[in-house]
Amino acid sequence: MATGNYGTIRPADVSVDDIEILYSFSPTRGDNSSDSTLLSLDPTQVLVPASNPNDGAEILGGMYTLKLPTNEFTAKGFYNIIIRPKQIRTTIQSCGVLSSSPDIIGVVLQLNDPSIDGGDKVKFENGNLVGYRMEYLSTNTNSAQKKMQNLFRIITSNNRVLSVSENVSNASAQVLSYSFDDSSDLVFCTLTPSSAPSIKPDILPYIGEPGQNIILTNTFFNPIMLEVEMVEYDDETLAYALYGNQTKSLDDGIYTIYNFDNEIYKQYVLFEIKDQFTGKPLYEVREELDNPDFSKEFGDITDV
Amino acid sequence: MEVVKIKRCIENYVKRVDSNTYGDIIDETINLNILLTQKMDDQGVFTDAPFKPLLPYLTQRPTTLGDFNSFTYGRIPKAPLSFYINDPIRVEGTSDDGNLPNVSSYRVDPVTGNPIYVNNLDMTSNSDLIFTGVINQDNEKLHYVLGADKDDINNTGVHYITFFNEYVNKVNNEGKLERYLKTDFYSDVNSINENNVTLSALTKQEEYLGLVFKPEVDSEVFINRGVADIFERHALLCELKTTNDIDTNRGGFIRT
Repeated sequence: MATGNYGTIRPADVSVDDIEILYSFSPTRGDNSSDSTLLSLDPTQVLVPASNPNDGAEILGGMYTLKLPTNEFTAKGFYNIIIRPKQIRTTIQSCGVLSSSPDIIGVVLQLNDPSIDGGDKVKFENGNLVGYRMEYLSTNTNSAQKKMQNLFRIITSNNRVLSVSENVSNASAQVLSYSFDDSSDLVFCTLTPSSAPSIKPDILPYIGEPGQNIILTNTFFNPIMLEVEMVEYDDETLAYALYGNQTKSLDDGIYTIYNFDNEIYKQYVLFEIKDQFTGKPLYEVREELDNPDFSKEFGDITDV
Repeated sequence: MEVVKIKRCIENYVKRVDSNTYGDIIDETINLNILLTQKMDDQGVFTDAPFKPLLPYLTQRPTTLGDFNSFTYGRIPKAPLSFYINDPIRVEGTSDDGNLPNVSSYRVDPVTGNPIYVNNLDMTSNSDLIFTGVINQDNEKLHYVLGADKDDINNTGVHYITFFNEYVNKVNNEGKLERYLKTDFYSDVNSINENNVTLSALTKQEEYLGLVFKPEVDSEVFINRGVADIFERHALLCELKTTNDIDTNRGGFIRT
């Protein structure tokens, strides 16, 4: 008897607008000289989703090409690149209940919070935040760690709401609640979990505090880290030296190694150092030339 | 987080032809193909915060730590509900002018036909306690409040300010254009206080969180009660008629 699937892994078809890329550089893997400084890359500039081969306008899903700019990524060493869902930072305006369903508690966000980018405002429209992760910054002004660690909630619904005053039969004890209103710029988000489990009903179903700063993160894909090792030599370049064409000019001692396209890969000058009085050879030297002698192109030499 | 290790040789991007730029990087980008996946399951998420009392025990609500937050500071034994209720912060936003009819008087301007708004005219049916009406107005805007405490109008209820000369156009769900007067609202009333919150939490039936296991029955129950008497092993051996019985009898308890 099948018990049903409860999970899957699917190729992500996330938009590059919902991605954040950070990277750091270390000249060696064991570099302890300094803490890693994380820099950011604009995903819209460096990340390109692959298209369906049958329809160029349809994203393939899963496969993306990361185009690292060579003006930043050609130093020899290790680049640690973190590709993670984009974060949106805002502030909880209020925690309250729905007017028509007082047992549904949620947090209220302000759509026009200036800390929200203009391009991200559409994500606060009805239903668009479902599945987003909400993480919390500490309200303790004395705390060394600003983030409340190991705590997150998942948004299960979001809708525009208008605040209404409740408990009006006892005006001095009135409270605000919220009713759905698409003309408002307040957004009511329900979260999971927002209630305690039956086995421990006395623990706190924490969802946040009014005025608390939060981080909203989409869950459209799993974050990954790339360790890109930039090297000067690999198997291919070593094969140039072993199996590639080579020439040695007997006239001037220029020794040239070519790549498999017969382009000059390395060039050296070979010479001997002799005793100035006896003429006895002391050393044989191979010295790399910084400026190659292009008269030693392989095609020119072998055409002779 | 998955870690993907990639090695790239700088030589692949270097120019090696006869020119002034020999040895320079000629490509603008280093292209890497990556695979992004999304893992999903329907398992419920719950953070069971350990009980961390705030020490030393407080007898009064802490005021020097900013807004009290039991997740940050730990719980206070026997703390009353008031400890958990923070001062309200203003809730504000924009809306449409749909609440204007609630505060208009029953008279209309004979020339324009527009409703007449009268300052301090209470339009609620429960005027002993509640005030719903216009607070002030001028040619540009109307300031009114819904559901305010009659004795504290400025600090209670939901206040609206509708601007007569500013319009908002919006396309509704049916694709039709709606036009209304720009309206701001604000309220200084708390959303959670002693009147709608108790300290006894709601409960969740954890068995419905979404994880379903196939029931398993272990039929090979074997209980070793020890040697009950000196004749037990002899009695057991008497039950063995074939060599297969040695393996099967008593769930493999008897070994040769």
